[in-house]
Amino acid sequence: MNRAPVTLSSAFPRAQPRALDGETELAVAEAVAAGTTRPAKVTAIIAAMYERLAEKPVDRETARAVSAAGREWLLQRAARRFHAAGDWFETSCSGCGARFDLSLSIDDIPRVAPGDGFPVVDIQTSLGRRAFEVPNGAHEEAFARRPDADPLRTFAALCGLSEQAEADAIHFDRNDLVRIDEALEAASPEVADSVAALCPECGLQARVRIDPLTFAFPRPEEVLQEVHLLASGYHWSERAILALPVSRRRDYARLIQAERGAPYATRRH
Amino acid sequence: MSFITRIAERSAPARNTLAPKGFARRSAAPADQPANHEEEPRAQPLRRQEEQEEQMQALRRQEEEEEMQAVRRSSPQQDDQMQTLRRQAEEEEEAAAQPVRRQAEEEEEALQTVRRAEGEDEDEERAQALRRQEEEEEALQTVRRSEQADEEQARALRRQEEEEEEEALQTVRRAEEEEEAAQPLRRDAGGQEKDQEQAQAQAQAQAIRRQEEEEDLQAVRRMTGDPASLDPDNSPFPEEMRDEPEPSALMALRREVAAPPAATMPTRPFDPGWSDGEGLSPTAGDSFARPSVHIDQLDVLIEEPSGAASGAGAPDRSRAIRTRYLRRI
Repeated sequence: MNRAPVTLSSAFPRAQPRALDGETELAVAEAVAAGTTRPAKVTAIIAAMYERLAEKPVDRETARAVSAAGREWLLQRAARRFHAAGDWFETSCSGCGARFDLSLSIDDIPRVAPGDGFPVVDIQTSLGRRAFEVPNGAHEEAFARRPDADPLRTFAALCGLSEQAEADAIHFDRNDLVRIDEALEAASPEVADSVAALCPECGLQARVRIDPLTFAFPRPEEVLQEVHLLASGYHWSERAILALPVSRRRDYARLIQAERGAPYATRRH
Repeated sequence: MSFITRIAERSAPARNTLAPKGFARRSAAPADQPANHEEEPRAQPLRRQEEQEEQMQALRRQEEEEEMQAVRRSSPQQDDQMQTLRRQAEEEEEAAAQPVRRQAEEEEEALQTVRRAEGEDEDEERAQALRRQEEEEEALQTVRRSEQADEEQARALRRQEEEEEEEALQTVRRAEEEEEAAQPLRRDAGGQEKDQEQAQAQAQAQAIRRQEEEEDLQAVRRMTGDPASLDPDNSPFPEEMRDEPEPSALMALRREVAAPPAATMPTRPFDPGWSDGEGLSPTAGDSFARPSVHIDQLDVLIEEPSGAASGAGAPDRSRAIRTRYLRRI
């Protein structure tokens, strides 16, 4: 008897974003700054940024149920709402250490539609026919808690729909694990999360990650600084200030700073 | 790289990532991110190690929490005991901390009292200083005001003195002019005796006039209490005027101003002498005599309406007094 798959059947679910007010921004900022694993941060950000996913109200469980590729795609879309700067990026060569620039549009990051049977694959293994669901956020979070574990075997245990999936994962041979990996890749949607960059100095071609968590989202102190400015200037409550749309809150903060004669520190977003 | 490996790698913090241009230099990377591109390459392994340790610690904490939860679920009695012990420890800590807290509060209150007292003293001193300043300003203003009053008084006195001096000077000037006008007449009269007689007569007349004026003034002063009594018609008829006749409606008074001069009139009318070469020459010397004009009679005509205001048979006293006065002049 197999358990039911948890992964959302929509690979790139129709997403209804929340209004970008202070509450949302602070929740995202706190999620990014939290001392948790990356998948847990992504879950928190998706839960904070989206009202509904595939017509379902969003909470952390819903955010976890989205496929790994779908989550990355939602994260990139959320990043685009904050990171309105240009498309020029920079990185450093892992070979020679030289810094170089490259142009990239986050809006145009390629993605691949899911394969047949998504989100479930059925595979013949050495232990018999086994069903697996495409990796989702919950699997990512679980794997992130065990970084030293073998990824193939761990995901085989996590994604297996069989009641004895954990035991099977221990007994799968290498061929089984490769076959499971290939089957899951074929059924899974995909979104690019890295680019191949050629170092202009040494000519080394390296894979560079596109991780919006490292640059796109605000930091809590930036949000709180503006809350503090408005609270001290207008004596509004924190709740009232955080209920303001981000752009309006920023305008008020700029006005207060201008009145006090201090230049407003331009936010990176 | 296999699919699962890629997902596993995505779950881990990124090693080499993209960053918006200038972003890495502007702000620090998040706590669990290694993307500090300006870091020395030698530091990267160390940082990676630290990150791994941090991650391990986080995992360990999570596992411990999970274990604790499991333990709590499995042994509620133990949990209760733990809670009791925790509560006991908290109560003991609270009991130990209370005297210290109380002492600190008492010290704080004492400090506040001292601070308040110091503050009040400072306020009092400030108020006294202000009061002193105000008093000094008031005294200065009083002095200034009295100085101004003195100055005004002095100015008024000076003005009065100047007016009096001016009047005296005018009187002297008038007297000198009269004297100058009278001197040729006297000289022409040629007789020193006559001058003396005239002077004596003048002096007598002046003395009489002064006496009469003085009497009049005294009478006026006596009557100043009652303005109505100043009206001659209301006053009693003077004794000395009892025999005087009532003045006529039109009366001319003739007075001899001075005795007629005895000098002879020039035989010839005054001639400047340069018209026809005759007459007085500029070199005539002692023989030149200034022509003079003598006024021997002054007619004064005083016209005033007859006393219509007074009663039909009643004497017009004010008119009588004026007539008498003019008659003397």
